[in-house]
Amino acid sequence: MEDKEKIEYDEDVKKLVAARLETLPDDAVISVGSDGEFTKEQIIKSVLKGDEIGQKMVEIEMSFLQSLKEGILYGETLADN
Amino acid sequence: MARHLLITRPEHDYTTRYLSAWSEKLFDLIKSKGYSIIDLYRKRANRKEIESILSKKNPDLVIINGHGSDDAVAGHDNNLLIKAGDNSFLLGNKITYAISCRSARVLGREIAQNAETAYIGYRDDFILVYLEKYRTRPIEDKVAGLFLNPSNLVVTALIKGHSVKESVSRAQQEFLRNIQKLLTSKVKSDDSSILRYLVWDMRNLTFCGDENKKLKS
Repeated sequence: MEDKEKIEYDEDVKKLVAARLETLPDDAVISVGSDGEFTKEQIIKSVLKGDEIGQKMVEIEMSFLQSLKEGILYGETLADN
Repeated sequence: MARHLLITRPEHDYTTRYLSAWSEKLFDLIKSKGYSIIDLYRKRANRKEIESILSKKNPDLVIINGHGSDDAVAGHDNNLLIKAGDNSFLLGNKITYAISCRSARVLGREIAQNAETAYIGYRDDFILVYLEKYRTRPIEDKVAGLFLNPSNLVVTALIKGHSVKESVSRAQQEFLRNIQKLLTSKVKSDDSSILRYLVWDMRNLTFCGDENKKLKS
């Protein structure tokens, strides 16, 4: 896992992200590179626990919400290189 | 003069099996464009082999499938393949695409310091979602395809003669098309729930170095 400064997410944020992850297919496996492969149940637990994988999932969720705000999903802009 | 393409395909866990199987789908196109494929498959995806091939065959395009970190990419059984400050100079004067976590951050930047060199990779973790029932037949997994088809498009575009910048842009557009498909009301909510991971990969796909570099025709 990366060495970025660890952000402590609020309990409410963790609960919100966990609830949003409930909509994943039951048999989905999320591969997070060399950190491993996780079932839906495992990542939800990680989010609530706030461990490294959970933190990553919250970061992804925040990035997704930011993308919605920026209009990326509707093709208004695309990530710069 | 023969044109070579080097690909590493470790297969020691489900993620690498998916990457390997989906990369193999590109083989016919690659061959049809006149490239000979040097396939470092399973145990052959090791440091000794890749160093030897890079030195002796000088491939134009290198595709690395496997786990990675900021400064390194790995082969079979997660053994080190290429590391910044060590043997990364071997990827100079080439185009490399690493389907690997985070290697664009340090390794890619270092490699891109070489003249006429480009490195395409991911700034952060490459997230892949697949369905458990397809583990033994990854090619049939349409959910994984939402991630791996755009990734394959990087290679397809390069092989067809597009520049590094254009190839990355085409792959990002393909990610976006998949995202927009999932945003339509006709898809099930559990399918659209993978959107966040597609957006993540699309945003983290990047390149370092010579953006205009193309494969020689």
